[in-house]
Amino acid sequence: MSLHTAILGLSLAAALIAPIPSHAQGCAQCRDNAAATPPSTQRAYRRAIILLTVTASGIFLATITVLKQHR
Amino acid sequence: MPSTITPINTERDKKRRIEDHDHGSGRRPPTDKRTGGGGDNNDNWNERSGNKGPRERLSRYRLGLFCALAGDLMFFVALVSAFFVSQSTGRYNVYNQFVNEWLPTVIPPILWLNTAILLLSTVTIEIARRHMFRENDVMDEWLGLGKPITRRAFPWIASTTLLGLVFLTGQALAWHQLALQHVFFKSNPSSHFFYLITYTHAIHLFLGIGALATALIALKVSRSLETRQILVDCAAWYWHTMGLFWIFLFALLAFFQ
Amino acid sequence: MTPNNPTNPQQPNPATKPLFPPPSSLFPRLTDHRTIGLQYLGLAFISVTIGTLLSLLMRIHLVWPAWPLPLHGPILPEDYLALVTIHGTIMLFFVLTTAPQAGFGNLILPAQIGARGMAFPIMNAASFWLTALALIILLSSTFVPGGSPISGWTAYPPLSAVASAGPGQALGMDLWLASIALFAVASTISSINTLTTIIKNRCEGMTWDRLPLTVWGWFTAAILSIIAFSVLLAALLMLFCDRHAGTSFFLPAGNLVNGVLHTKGNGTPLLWLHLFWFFGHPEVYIAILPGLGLTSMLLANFSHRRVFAYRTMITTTLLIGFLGILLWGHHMFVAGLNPFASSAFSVTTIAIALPASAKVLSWLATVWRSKPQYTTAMLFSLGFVSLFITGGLTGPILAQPILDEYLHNTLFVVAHFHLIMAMAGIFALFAGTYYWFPLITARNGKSGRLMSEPLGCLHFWLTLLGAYATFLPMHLTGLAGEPRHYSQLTGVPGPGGSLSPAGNLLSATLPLNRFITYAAIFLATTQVLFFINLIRSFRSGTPAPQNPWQATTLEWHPALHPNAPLEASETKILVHRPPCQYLFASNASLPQWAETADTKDTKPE
Repeated sequence: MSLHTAILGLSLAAALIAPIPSHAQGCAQCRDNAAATPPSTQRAYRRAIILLTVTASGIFLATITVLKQHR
Repeated sequence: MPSTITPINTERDKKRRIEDHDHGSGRRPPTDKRTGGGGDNNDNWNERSGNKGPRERLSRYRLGLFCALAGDLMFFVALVSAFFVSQSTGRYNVYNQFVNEWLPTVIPPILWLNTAILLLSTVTIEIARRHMFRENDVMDEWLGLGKPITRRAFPWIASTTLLGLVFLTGQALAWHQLALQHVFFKSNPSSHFFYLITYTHAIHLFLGIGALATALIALKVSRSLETRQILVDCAAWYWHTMGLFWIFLFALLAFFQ
Repeated sequence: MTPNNPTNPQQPNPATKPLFPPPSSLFPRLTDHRTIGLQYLGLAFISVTIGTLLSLLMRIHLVWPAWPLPLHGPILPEDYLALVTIHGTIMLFFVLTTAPQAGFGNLILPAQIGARGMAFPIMNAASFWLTALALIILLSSTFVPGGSPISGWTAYPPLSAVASAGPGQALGMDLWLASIALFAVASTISSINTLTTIIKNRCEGMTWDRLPLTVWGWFTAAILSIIAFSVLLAALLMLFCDRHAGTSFFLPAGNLVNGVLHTKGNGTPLLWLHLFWFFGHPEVYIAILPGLGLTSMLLANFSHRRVFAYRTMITTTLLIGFLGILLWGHHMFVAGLNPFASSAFSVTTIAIALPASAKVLSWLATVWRSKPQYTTAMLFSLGFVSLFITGGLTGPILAQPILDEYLHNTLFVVAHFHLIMAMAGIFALFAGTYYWFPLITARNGKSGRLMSEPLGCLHFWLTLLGAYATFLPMHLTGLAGEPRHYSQLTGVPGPGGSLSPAGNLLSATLPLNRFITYAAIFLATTQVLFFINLIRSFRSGTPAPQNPWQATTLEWHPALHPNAPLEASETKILVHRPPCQYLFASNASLPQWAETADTKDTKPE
């Protein structure tokens, strides 16, 4: 093991042993809001998300497949 | 062997020499007898290079239009997905009960009539569009025997414009009827969406009527068959798409509230 | 030469002729794609200058809150938020969206596919002028009563929907909405134009696998723009209705704003978040995809190697675009998304690391053990790779809902996106400017000029240093808990006159924040070098040879070069091979258009 690798390994170990404590900036209101969402609303969101993604990815894929055939 | 010979030493500046059948697009062979097939850029049909060839301009404008319509589709899909979310969004009141203020807006029955009119206009514009490409008439125009294509397509486009205006009037009547029932834009989450969707669709149809009017003027004014074909073709595809969007939006408003 | 050459600009080719020939003679110049590209670059240059100055004001205010802004007085919290808003809006929309996609897109794209113009020249000009109008409206919002809007470039409701929420939230916010709506329309038009041009105007022999990767970047970004900007337009319309038509799409009931309780409303701000980020995340890829393509091409060209795994690079470009529309939810992990949706979005977000790392791998493999020519453009491309890696590594961290809940509202996120999007995007723009400067300055019959290499080299190293010195420490202050969008870090009072726990937390980050501010000022100052270089090279730069970088792509084709004589427009453009092909023996480049013995007789497919 060369000196280079040793220094690299040591600094990696030091970084792992002494991490910086992380202080969160959460959002309690958001959490409450999510917890208070009734299942029917959640279902509506799910549906809306699927509608958006399916249409958008449909357009994307259609463009590419059509162009593949174009030439 | 190219069927039209374009001189190399063309003029840089546009000059109009009507008596010489040169209406300002540079020096050309006597009359602008283009087949409308778009083969005007490279009339040698046997040796097509890349995307050059018949109907090049037409297919370019069509593609541009379809890209714009794809964006438009996303616009309406965004509204529809917001519709689904709002429909089931509620809140908890002070007694901790879940309240959903959504009251379905009853569709004014005139909308059924409007839908039928819009479907009819789709048929008329499609007939007009097909007239633009009828081989016999294209050939007649190419031979210089008048403007049979314009003669045949004009009434159909005019009737489409009329039907479009009737549809918009019908929509205005529907808004009026709702207003008489005291259902306004701001009344209820459901009416927000009813008005938002019908208004934005009506704006799109206004643009479509603008396109149809342009096509009507161009049919009378323009000598280039290809220009006329492009305008009518693009207006027609736009109109079809708006009809299709309306079917879906109407189904949403009528059955999914 | 056939008499009816399809590519002959003197007699305007009917194929490129607009439907309605405009009457005035000014039109050809206004609708010329090179002019429009330069106009876009000019607009982006003005915007980036303004945006940088605003960011400096923010940094200065954070560490010296008492410093009064000349002609304005002390920076109040609402002023700080206005700075955040205008800085974000200008940089995201008017710099990172316009310059790579519309600026270089117009300037270079047609030539790179062997075309002589864009598909719809008039629409092209219209989209530029709409963008310019949007910028003017945005800047004018600063001067109306109440000043600029203060809800950030994301304009989260309910505060953006209530006019009384802050000083700039009345007329200022309306102007912001108008500006962004115009911008959305303009971008959609310009993307339709780009897409149609790439599909329809390619020259003979330019098959899909032979398209340069820059063109693939522009292509994918154009599809994303068409999809995303329409959704933004819908969302803006709904927000506008909430503000003026009495609707409540995004307004919840019982909303206490500025001491006033708004009882009416049945909407939810979460809906705006969905619609906005459905646009907002693709927007990020719109900004960076052209840069990804450019980096691949420049690295290959200056190390005289083929692009490693060319077809895979095309696929990854498309895959990044495709996944880019499926992962907007990761901006909303802390906004009350239901946990199931969070996990789904987390998976798609982490999945995008795959094509992204494939790209990094290809870049490294392309330059590995080659003997690259370290020109300034190459240096900036390498800098792009470096920033893409450092900024990208924090991506998978933030992609996990659990970690993101801790970090989302801290400066860690600011560091992440400034490294990977802002800095990497700007580095790609610098690389493009240094690389294509001869094409920017070349005129009819006059060869272009090169930018000064020693000055450029200095500019690169100082910028790289400044970029890392500014944005790496932000990770640390973010981990230490420094929140985003806070105008004040010092003197947060607590009970009994002492420092509150929050004030205590934040005061610990102050030394590092001071360092960041110094670094930011340094970074901005070094850009003067670029400015000097630009002006000097415009006036008296070294005249550039026809193909100064031995490039293989078509924008350096003698007949497509802006200094080509008029007769050259009769030349037929033919492409024989993919870009970035080099002769192994002589180390010479083999341009896409060059004929060799084996291409001479056989017709290209």
